[in-house]
Amino acid sequence: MVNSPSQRTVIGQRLRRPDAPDKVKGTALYIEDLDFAGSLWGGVLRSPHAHARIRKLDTARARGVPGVRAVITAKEIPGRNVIPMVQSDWPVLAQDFVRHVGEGVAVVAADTREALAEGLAAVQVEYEPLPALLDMEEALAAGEVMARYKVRRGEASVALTRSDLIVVEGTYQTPYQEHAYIEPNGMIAAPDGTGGVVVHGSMQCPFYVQKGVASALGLDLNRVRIVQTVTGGGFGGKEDAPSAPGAHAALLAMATGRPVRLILTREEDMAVMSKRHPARVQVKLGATRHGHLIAAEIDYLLDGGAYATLSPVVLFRGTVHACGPYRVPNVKVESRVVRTHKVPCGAFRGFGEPQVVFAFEAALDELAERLGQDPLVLRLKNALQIGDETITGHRLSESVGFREVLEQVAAASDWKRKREEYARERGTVRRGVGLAACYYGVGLGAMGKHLNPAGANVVVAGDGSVTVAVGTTEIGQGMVTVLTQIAAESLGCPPDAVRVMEADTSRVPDSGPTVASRTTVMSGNAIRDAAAKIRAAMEPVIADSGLPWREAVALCVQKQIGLAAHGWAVPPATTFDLATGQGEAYVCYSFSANVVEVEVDTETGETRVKGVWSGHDVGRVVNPTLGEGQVEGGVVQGLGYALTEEHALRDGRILNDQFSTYIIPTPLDVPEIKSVLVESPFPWGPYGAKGLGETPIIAVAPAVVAAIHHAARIRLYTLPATPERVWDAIRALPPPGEAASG
Amino acid sequence: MADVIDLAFTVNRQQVRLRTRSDKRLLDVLREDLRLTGAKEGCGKGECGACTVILDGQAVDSCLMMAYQADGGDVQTIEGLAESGRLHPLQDAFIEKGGVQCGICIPGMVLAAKAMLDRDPEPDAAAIRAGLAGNLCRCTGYTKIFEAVEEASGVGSLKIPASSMTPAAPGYFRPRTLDDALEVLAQRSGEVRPIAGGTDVLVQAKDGTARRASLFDVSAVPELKDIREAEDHVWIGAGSTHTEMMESKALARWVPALPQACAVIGGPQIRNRGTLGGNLAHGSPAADTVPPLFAADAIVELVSVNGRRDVPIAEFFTGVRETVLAPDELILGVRVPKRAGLRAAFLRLGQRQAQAISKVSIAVAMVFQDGRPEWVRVALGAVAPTVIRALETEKALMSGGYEGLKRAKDAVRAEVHPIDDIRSTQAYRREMAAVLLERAVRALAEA
Repeated sequence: MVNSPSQRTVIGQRLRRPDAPDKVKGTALYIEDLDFAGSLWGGVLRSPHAHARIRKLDTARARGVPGVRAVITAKEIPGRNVIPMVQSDWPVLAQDFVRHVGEGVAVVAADTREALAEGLAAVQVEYEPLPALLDMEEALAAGEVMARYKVRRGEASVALTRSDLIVVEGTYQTPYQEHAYIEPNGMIAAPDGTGGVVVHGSMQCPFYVQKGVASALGLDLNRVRIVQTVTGGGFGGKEDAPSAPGAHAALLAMATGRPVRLILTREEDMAVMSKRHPARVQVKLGATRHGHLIAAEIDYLLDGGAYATLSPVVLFRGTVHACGPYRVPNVKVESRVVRTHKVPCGAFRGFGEPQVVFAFEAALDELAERLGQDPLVLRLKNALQIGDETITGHRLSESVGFREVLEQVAAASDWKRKREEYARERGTVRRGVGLAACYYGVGLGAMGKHLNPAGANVVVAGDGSVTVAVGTTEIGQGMVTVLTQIAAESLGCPPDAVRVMEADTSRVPDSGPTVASRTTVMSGNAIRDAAAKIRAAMEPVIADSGLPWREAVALCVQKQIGLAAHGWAVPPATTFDLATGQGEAYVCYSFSANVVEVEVDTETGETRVKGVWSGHDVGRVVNPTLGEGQVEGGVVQGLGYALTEEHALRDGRILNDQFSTYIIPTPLDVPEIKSVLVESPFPWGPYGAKGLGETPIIAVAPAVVAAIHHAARIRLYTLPATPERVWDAIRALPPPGEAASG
Repeated sequence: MADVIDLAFTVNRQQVRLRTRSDKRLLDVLREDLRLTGAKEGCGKGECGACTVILDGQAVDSCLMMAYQADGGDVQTIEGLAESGRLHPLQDAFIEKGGVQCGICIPGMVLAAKAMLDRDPEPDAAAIRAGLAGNLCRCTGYTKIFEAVEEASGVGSLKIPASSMTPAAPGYFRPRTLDDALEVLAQRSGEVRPIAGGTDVLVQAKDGTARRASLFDVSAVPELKDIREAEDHVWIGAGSTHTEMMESKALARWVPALPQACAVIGGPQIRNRGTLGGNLAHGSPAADTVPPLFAADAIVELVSVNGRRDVPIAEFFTGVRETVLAPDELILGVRVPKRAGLRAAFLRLGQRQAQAISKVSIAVAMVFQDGRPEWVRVALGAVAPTVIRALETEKALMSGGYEGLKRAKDAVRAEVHPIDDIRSTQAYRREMAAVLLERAVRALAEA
């Protein structure tokens, strides 16, 4: 039967991933697995200094190394020495100055790995080291501000002086976080024989890479074709950062006329690719004695590193979400991202929210204690509901399932009983439960309007098989599966007739990036738009024939009906005023809350997470297996952020650049995780769906830290909550007995 | 340019003979020479497990092995798992349960799971986690991977019988007798470096502090294998792997802290390859096998073409990554005296539950007579340039009771000399030495 779009059959099903069989068989081809005939090895000579003037850069000797085919520095770049991102400050290769350790100074292509290593070593660079700004507070004092935003709502400063308010105050620090995708970045570029270039690689955003390559080579966009290979994880780390290796490989390919493979080692990837911004957040939060939030003042500072890349938009998202999913009538947010001589930070799942949410939720937990209220009750009391306004004055008229999320995770985790019972624990190892919540504006919002639309091309072949091309990417999150379901649902065909292609810039118009939990909504709606056109063409022929899909298609083919269409999705218009930080920051929000249960060893400071109940209002669950997978994966990344993950730097150089020193969770470190998926449909989303990619990571760390407080009575203001920090804080507690009187 | 060598092994039940560069890792030969690209290089240091293959029935990291170490062996890669187009039950379960996201870790994860199920067809939840502890995944949070392995377990033995093949015997790279190995060392003293597992040296090679072309493999030398119980001692061949030590009944009885320590090292892949001799020669103050040997008065047996010598364990290490081992010497094995009534424990703190390098470790061995300590050894790792024995701490413990323990804790705080580094702090390590001491002593007293 050709299903009418109103008869839901595929949405909500646990459809198996179409990409999984190749992945379990080992036949899926990642960038490292591709073999281009005659390809050269490409590599990058990188700065050992955080900040230096390049006095001399001589490539003559390197060019003379046998087997070396090309050596390129800034002055040999045929186009602009800029990778366009939010600002135009990011060079393809350093020119005159290096501004962070690991910045590319020259790129080399050679016949063999050995010749490449020799060629890189033979490039002669003379640096004049310059003083480096390595501390974000110092950078702020020096006026090195890349971007700033604010939110002004009511009179926060005045309200916070009210004598009837209980006010808590704190300064919170969060560390770098590494994406730690298991596949390092890599690209293979090859000349296309007509003056253009084709670049294959691991990436999230082919259209970003396309702009970067076109800019470096001075080519029109239609001469630069970018093809995404099966990508071994992204999490934001393959959003902005791959444009650099893409441009490097393309420069070498055009210079040599040969394919060039440029694949980063793990150490190189960790040292030079983007990361989550370290942050410092000051929070001052006031509520009435009954627990109604009245005012908040937040000062949010991010360390952007040497170049802006996506820092301004990361900061924007953190700024407008600074007070979480709560009603706060008086708000003042001051936020800045500063320039330092360190590796540029960029996109990472959560995108500027995890830092500020950690701070705000931690302050809320402290406020609950001061008020003598259950943290759940305090949140329920202030939870955003339909008709409420966010801190940017966005009145929410639909799809707000936050209260339901809070109530369901509390029930699933047995919150109330554990909260009371664990508070009485007195042993060496103590249990505790903590709660935290967040919301996340779906899509690119007010700051990314120009990138917002997305396209899809849907072609039905004569045998009834369907080819779907979109501009967003499968990076493991399950896009291919979800879009297969949406295509099947909207065309009325069986899902096994659908093939969603790998992203290729020659197949669809610029569809923006695969970020911000926008893929299901944007590409999904573009597919529905195309499918509606195809069905409109089919209807007159098949009318009420009741034919199965493949026969219906055959009939249409016989009648010479065109069964291909382009779909285009543009989100509803929003308005936003940057001067006041007021307006509709995003079209819609996903809501989330976590309960985390821990055991804290009060002698060693070790925290073991025993359980996580993670609730999400996702609008509509397109595929529960994938939804749970997003939650479980995001939660575990959040646990790493909470407990072990951070970078140590010396003179701007990252000291822990491998998996034995950058500590992510192993199979022995993960607790039981229960996903709670709540459906509060978003009418504009495909079948009511909104995004789920990011919320799972955001409110994990504050829930862990709240649980540690519940167990061990210590407040932590710095992530990660390492045993050393927990132990230090426990040692600093007043001896039992003094606490009550003090 | 490296030498060219001949290799012979079976890969996915097919006999393979090939000539390749001697400095290639098993991973390179699989990916480049045989175009089997299912094994992935996520880190090249045995940390992520994405390159896992099964060698002679055991999961190994193919990035931490020279190709010639697999000579004569049986290799299974992900490409050989499906039979005549039918997926292996594990592969089906990974698809069905949603265990696959980006997929880059999956070939290694599936093979680690297969090696586990081949040995233990019905693992419980804890065993499943332990069996996968050498594999990192950043997408799934592991939950659905555990479910998939559980789903595929208990469906009967799926073990593919190992096929054998005559080794190609790639020259001096893989001697098959002790004399041959010592001859290589004597002839090329200073130029070559022996490896057994390779799990430390190949990490150094990636960092540029060792050269792959200069290595040769002693893991096929039979004289280095075996764990033997003699009348008054237990002998542990230097080539014993952590897995073999973990599973040894003789060690569990006579040197119980040693198998406890082996059990927390790395993940299964590292334990299947890493050896006692390698751990000693590496000379790391954080090596987990060493405190148990200090606490057992172990004797290290060294051998060269010029003869043999015994070195007490406490005299073997001379500094951070420095030992008394001469360039032409090999560690033959370790002798541990038997001691009746011995109780011993190993405890440590790491940055996570698997694949962690110790921040502080302790081995305590005690013999009690009528409830009072009669003999005590305390050794600590990662708190000084070498593993140390804490003599004053031992003295305090000998006096017994709560007072003795309290004085021992003070003594151990004074006897350790920890530093601040990226793993921990001096103050924390110092206090944890005391905490772990108390926990170990209490456990032994109550045992």
